[in-house]
Formats: sequence, C-alpha cells, structure tokens
Amino acid sequence: MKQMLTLFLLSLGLGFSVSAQAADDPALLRAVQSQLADDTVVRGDFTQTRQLAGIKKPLIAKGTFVVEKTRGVLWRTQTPFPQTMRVTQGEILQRDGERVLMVLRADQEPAVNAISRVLFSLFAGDLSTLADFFDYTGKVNKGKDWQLTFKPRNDGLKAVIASLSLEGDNVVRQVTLTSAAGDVTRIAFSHVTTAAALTADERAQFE
Amino acid sequence: MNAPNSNNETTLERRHRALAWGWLGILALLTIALLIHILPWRGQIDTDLLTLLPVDERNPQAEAALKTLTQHGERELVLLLEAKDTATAQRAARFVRENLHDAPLTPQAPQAQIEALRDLYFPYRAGFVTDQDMRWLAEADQAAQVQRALALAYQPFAGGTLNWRDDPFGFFGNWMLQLGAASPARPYGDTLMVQTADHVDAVLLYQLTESAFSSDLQTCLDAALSAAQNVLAKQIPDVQMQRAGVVLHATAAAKQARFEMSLIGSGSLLCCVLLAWFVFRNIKALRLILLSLAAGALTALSLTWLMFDRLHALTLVFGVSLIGVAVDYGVLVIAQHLNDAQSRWSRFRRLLPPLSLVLIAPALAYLGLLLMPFPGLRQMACFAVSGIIGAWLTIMLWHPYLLPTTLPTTPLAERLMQMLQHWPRWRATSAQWVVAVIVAVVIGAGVSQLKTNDDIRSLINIDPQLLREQIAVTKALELPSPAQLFLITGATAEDVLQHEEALLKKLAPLIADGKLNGYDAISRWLPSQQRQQQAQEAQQTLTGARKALAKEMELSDDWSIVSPHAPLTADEWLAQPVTASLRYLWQGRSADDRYSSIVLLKGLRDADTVRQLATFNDAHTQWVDKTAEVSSLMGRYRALLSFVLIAAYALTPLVLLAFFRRRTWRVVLPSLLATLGTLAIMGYAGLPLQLLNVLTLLLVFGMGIDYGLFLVSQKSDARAFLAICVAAALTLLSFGLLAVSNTPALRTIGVTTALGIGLAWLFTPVFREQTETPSANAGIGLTTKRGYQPDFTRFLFRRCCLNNCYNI
Repeated sequence: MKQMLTLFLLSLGLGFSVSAQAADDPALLRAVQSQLADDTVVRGDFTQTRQLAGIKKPLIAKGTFVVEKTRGVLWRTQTPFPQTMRVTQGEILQRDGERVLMVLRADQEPAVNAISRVLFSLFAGDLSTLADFFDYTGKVNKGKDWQLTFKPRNDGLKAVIASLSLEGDNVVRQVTLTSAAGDVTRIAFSHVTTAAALTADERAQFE
Repeated sequence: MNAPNSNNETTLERRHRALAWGWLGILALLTIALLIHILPWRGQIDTDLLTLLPVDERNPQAEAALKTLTQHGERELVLLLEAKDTATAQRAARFVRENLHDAPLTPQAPQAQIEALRDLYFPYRAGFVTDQDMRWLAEADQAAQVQRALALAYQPFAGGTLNWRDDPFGFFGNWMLQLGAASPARPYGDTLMVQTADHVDAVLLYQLTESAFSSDLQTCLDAALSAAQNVLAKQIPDVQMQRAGVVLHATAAAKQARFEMSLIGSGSLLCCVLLAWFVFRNIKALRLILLSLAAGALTALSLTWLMFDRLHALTLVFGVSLIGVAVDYGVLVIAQHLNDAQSRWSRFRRLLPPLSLVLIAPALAYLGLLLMPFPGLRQMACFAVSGIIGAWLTIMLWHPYLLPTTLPTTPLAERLMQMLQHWPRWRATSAQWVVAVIVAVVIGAGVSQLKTNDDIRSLINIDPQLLREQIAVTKALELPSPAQLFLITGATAEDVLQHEEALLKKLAPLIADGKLNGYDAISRWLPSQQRQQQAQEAQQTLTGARKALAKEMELSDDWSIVSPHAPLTADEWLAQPVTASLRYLWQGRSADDRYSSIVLLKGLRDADTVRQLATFNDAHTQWVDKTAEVSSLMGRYRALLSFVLIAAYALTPLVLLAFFRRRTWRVVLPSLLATLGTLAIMGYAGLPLQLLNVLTLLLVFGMGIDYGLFLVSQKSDARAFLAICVAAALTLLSFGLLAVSNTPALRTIGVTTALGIGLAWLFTPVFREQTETPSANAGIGLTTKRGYQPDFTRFLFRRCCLNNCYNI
C-alpha cells in the first residue's frame, strides 16, 4: 500500500515544495532529524498552557528547561509556583523546592522506563525512538520548518496519550500533547540555545 | 484307561474346545474395539506425572484450587527473547511472531486492558485509594491538600489515566499505577518488554489452540518452534530465546516415552524370542509364546482403555516391561512338554492346579493396588492384571492345540536342567545353619540401613535445558509458584476479600525484607467493600480543599462535594469480560456454600520463609504446599503399600497351607528372602525406599511365590526348574531394560525388580525337596499320597468334570 502511494506521488511529480508524506515514512523522519541541531545540551524558556477537560480556565505556567542527551530533562516551573520535574533514565522526580512531591522509579514501576524514554526523546528530538512508540505523519516545508504528529501504537500508551504534535526548525519550537482524558497541553519554547556541556549548577541538579 | 474315563475326557475336551473358541471370539472383539479407539487414543497419551498421583481427599478445596490453577496454566506458552537493547528485542519479537504465525497458537492480550479496567472502576473510584495515600490523607492539612492538587493540575505530563477534574488528588491514578506491580512486563511499542539492568527481554505470550497433551499439537508446535529458533539464530544471532510452558515438558516426555517404549518393547521381545528359541528350538513353542504376548497386550490395552479415559505414558512403558512376566506361563507349560510321554489331556490335568495357583499371588498383589485411590497405580495394576490374565488364558486354552504332544529336549535345556542337581539344597545341617545365621545378620544389617525418600521431585525427570529456560522465564516475569499458595475461605465473597487483605498485610513485611517478591491476589484488583468504604470516609476530610480548588479553577460548588457511592462488589467485578484473565484466582462458591480464593506468591526462595508462611494459617487462611503434600502423601502410601506387602506375605501362606501343608514354607521362603535381600542391597547401596520400590516388591512377591509354587508342586522336576530359569532370565532382561529409562521412576522399578527376581531365582531351588523319582515320570504333580487331596483342587477338578481322576 505504501509502495503504491509512493508510486502515485512519484507520478504526480517530484518538484513540489511541500511534499505530503505517507504514514511512517522513515525518509520523513530522516529529513526532520537532519535539520535538528545535534548538540548535547539544549536549554531555553517555556510557556505551558494547559486546557484541562471540563475546566474553562486555562492554566498557564512559565519556566526554563535543560535537556542533556545522556542524562535527561530538567523542567523548572517558576510561575505560578516553583516546582521542578526531573526526568532521567529510570526515574521521574517532582519537587516543590526541597520537598519531594512525587517519585516514580523504574525498579518499582517498569513503565517509567518507557515514559521517560518518550519524554527524553521528545525533548532531545530523538525522533527514531518516538517512532518505536508512535505512528506518525507530517510534512517538511521548504523554509526548513516542519511538523510531525504522533499517535500511540499500543493500547497502554493510548490510555494515556491521544496525540503528540511537534513543530520546529533546527530545534523543536512547540509541542502539543493531547491526553487520552482530553487535557490539552501546549508548550511553546523560546530563547532556545544549544551548548556542548551542562553548567556546574545544572550538573548538580542531575546528581 | 477305562471307558468312563475316556467319556469324561471327551467332555473335558469338548468344553475346553468351546472355551478356546470363546477366547478367540473375545480377542477378536477386543481387537475391533481397540481399532475403533486407537485414533482418539493417540492424542490422549498423558505424560503429566502429577495425574498419576492421588487426589488429596483430606483437602478437597485445596485440590480444586490447584486444579483450576493447572487448567489455567496448562495451555500457556511463554517465549522470552533476551537482547542487549530494546530495538534488537523488538526486531526479534516481530520476527518470531511472523515465524509462528501458522503454529497452533493464539497470541494472548499482552496485558489486562488498562482502559477497560479504568472504565470499570471509574464510578467507584472514591473507594480506590492506595495504602500510601491513605496514610497521607490521615496526615495532610488543607494547604498540603490544595498544593498536591494544583501541582497535578500544572504538571505537564500527569501520569494519571483520568482527567484532573475527576481525580484532582491523583489517588485513583496512583491506585491504577500499583496494579502495575502485578507484572514487570510493560508494553514498549507493540511488544511487551521486561527491562533489567543489563538486558531487555521481549515477552511473547501464547495460548495453545488445543490441549498441551494432544500429540498432533505437540508435533506441530515442536516443528514450528524449532524452525523459528533456527531462523532466529541465523538472522539475529545475538538474541537468546527462552521457552516456558507445560506443553514443552509434555512434548519432551512424550517423545522420550515413545522412544523408551519402542526400545524396551523391542528389546524385551527380541530377548524373549531369542531365549525361547535357544532353549526350546521349536517354532510351535515360539508361536505359542508370541501369541500369548499378543493376546496379553491386546487385553491389557483394551481393558485399560475401557476403565480409564486417558492412558499414561508411564503405564505403557511399565506395561511393555511386563512382557517378561506374561511370557512365564508359556515357558512353564512348554517346559513341561519336554520329553514327556503323557497324553496332552492328562498333562493338562496335571498342570491345571499349579497353573491356577500361580495366578493367585499376582492377583492378590494387584487387587490390593486396584483398590487404592491412586490413579497411576490403579492404571498400572489394571494394565498388568489384564495383560497377565490375557496371556495366561491364551496359554491355558490354546496350548493343547498349538503344541505338539511331546517336545524333544535341546542341549541348552539339558544343561540347564542338570544345573539343578548341583544347586545347593537346604538340608538343615549345622554348617548350613551357620551360613543361614550369617545371611540373616547380613540381611538384617542391610535392612537396618535402609532410608526412605518420599520426595516426588526425585521421581520426575525434567529435561535440564527446559528446566533452565523455565526458571529464567519465571524469574524474568516474576511468575508465582504454582504449587505453593494460600487458600482463603469465608462465608461470603466479602469475607474472603477481607481475609485476603488481612493476609496481604502480614505479607507486606516479608516483601519489604526481600523474602518475597510479591503476590497475585484478587484483592489487589478488587478491594473489599469494607476497604472501599474506609477510603471513601477518609476522603471526607478533603471537602475544604475541594472548595478552595473549585474557586481557584472556577468550578461549580457541586464539584467540591463528593457524595458516597455504593462500593464495587465481587459479583459485578467478576461479570466484567476484562477480569476474565484474573478469575483463576477466584474459586467462588463451593458445594458447602463457602467462598474461597487463592493467593499466589512470587519469588519464594527459602525453606525458612515457607515455615514462616505456614504460621499464617488460621480459620480462614490455609497454607497449601502441594510439593510437600504430595511427598507426605507418597510417604503415607508407601507405608500403606508396605502393609499390603506384609499382609500378602502373611495371608498367602495361609491359603497355600491348604494345598502344600508342611511344604508351604518352601514356597514362601524364597520369595521372602528375595524381598529382604533386595531391601538389604538397597540399604547397603544407599538407594532409598520409595513408594515405587514397595510397588515393585509386590511384583517380586507375586513372581517369587510363583517360582516356589511351581517347583514345589512339580516335585522339584528339572523341567520346572528349567521353566523357572527361563522365566527369571526373561524377567531380568525385560526389567533390566527399564534401567536404561531416563525417567527415575521407571529406573527405580527396573533396578528393584531385577534385584528381587534375581534373588528369588537363586533362592527358590535352595529350598526344593529331595527329588524322589526321575523327572520323566512326573505323573502326579500336586499330590502324591492318597487322602492328601486339597479341597480347592477338588473343586477345580469337579468343574472340569474330572471327579474320578484322583481315585476319590
């Protein structure tokens, strides 16, 4: 089926600036991946808007984030209240200042591995790992910006996530997560910079 | 011979002929019955050793629980693909799935569907709070409560399965999360995976389309699995496949049983034919022996089939070795034809009493077995009794027509018969008494060293490779032990759940200490109503926090009030399709109107923990250890069977006394000495006494008595001695072949029988009588003096219309 579609598209001509892609086309992922900066550390600010199902008031939070390819994600909310979430391989930790609000460990809950991998690859822009869990569609525009939509492949993930959309150019600019329960979370990234290594303070937070 | 005599003989011959034809008719009918049923039977050869074991009549509920568990597990097949990384594991999983597409397997749903469970619990969610959150509720003030809810509302990737509005504090989400402790496997992409520190296992779960004991399925699956494994090894060589499932053991056992059956069967048959040929050198004699064997096999197979719906592989292997026993009667009769000038009917009359008596001992022994509630032993006994009787009838009814009147002796037969003269004979001299005392001391010392071993595991033969794989799978998936469990009972379903919860509280410290990894219990999925109500009450303290949250989130005041909800009941829970895969934990209502459930344990390792668990027993909680129970059952039956053996040795002389009077000890003593000697040798060799040894000694008892009986009744005729030599040699050969079996149970039987029969053969001639007349003139066997006529013989002879035969 996929081959037929490709053949059909080929017969239409190759010269279009926007090429529609068939589902799960590895070429699409490669195209996007090649555009993404391949630095070890990505940091920036975020604005997160949550629209919870059944609640009119949008919940807006702001803060900063750091992604280090091998260690994980630091998600530091500053408003409306300070809170830190740290996603590392095998652990998801949520802190309110010094108080631990929630900790999920893979040795207690093996699903943490899968969840942290999804979050990891989401922020690190590791698209091929995402493709292990999700079916995807998307397009790459000539101006080098791109859009991808992921839909979970297995029932376990479907129970949590309805869909996941990513937009970006050489970095991910916006993530939209629609939960299975109907909550929509839109995260816009700004002041995104890349670097080769973490600062000492950041490294300490990963310890 | 005078006229009335020959008239009577004609009557005997006529009746005998009618019986012989009748037997042929019966055999024909049995053949037809067997042919009709041979096809369904092929698929019903059982290899599960546990089905041979008795049902524990003392604990029917535990038995029922174990049965449910066995049925639940019988059709499962688990494949584990061990790889270094997730991608490789996933590739291997897809690959194997495709390769097994046509195998007789149904892929199983990889997990209880989260969504369906969530939908089931949703209306009752106020009652579903984890222990940890219950503790938090008892402590948290309103500020902490509000903070917890807000943190969840703002958390970008809340793990909960409900939206915030329905579960603002995440209690239900946490409760759903702890269901995950039921299994370490998690879906990763489209595959179930178990992650460990250094590798990843992809898990493939299958359900067999047919019974694990169906031979068609076994063949199909075996081929498909080997093919998939070979291709996998070529395509993705760094992936290890581990397999677990009853069907794998069943296949291996069936293969082995088939191999051993043909090996032991053809070996025994070949030995019989060769030995019979070398001793008798007569094609007609050989034909009679083979016919009696065929008739014995036919009777045994068809009658066992009539009585039992499944035939066990062990019965077949054991049965095949009975060739050596069944052939005895033919040998006894044929040997009496050597150089014998009598007419065939007068010889028949002479042989009838001793050959009727030789059936008594085995019949007594096996009747005892048939009466026992031990399915395996009953099946073997049924097989043995019907086979032996079939062979015996064939010999008794057909030999007058199938054998020539006289057989010439052969050089080998002559030499064997001459051996008797040189055989030591008990004369009660003082030197012999010294030897007797020494033998008694040696035997006594050996018997006193005898140890017993009733551990069922020492009888089961499990393919070591399969066992390793099974252990690896059990460990990786944290599967519970299927043979050790808690049985929880109660007057109502709610009682059972409450008792379960009480038990799980006691187990918690053991899990915290690492003595246990976890458990499978229904109350993990369904809290008792009492527990659900407690959780609802605990949440009443949240009203203030909910009001504050309603204001903050611009929700209506109605939201802040949670009205009480009726708890989820066991009936409702059980009625849901999504809980079907967990129902094996719920035993439900039994005949005595009580409810029960089982709690399975994971990672149970040491005996100390087992002892500790046994102390958790109370009126509603019962620790069931099947392995220990089976072993104690084996011990009880070993004791019982020993008693049967002792009773047999005590009662048989009483019966024989009527026929042999003062010579009875000559019949019984060789067999008794052989039994004690076998026990002594086992004691010296360190072989433990098991249930199966005692069973075998029962066989030795029967055959040993037969040897003595035949030799004594034939007045120490050299031909009787020859017959005993040949019979013993055949038994030794066919049971000796059992010693090559891979199944420890059969090896035990083989070794004990070989020892016992060997000794019986050595001892029997020692206690022979002084030969009075040359062997060729052995006109009268059982009685020599007038007035010495036993009642039983008289009765037998009357039935054969031979009233005047013994000058009464």
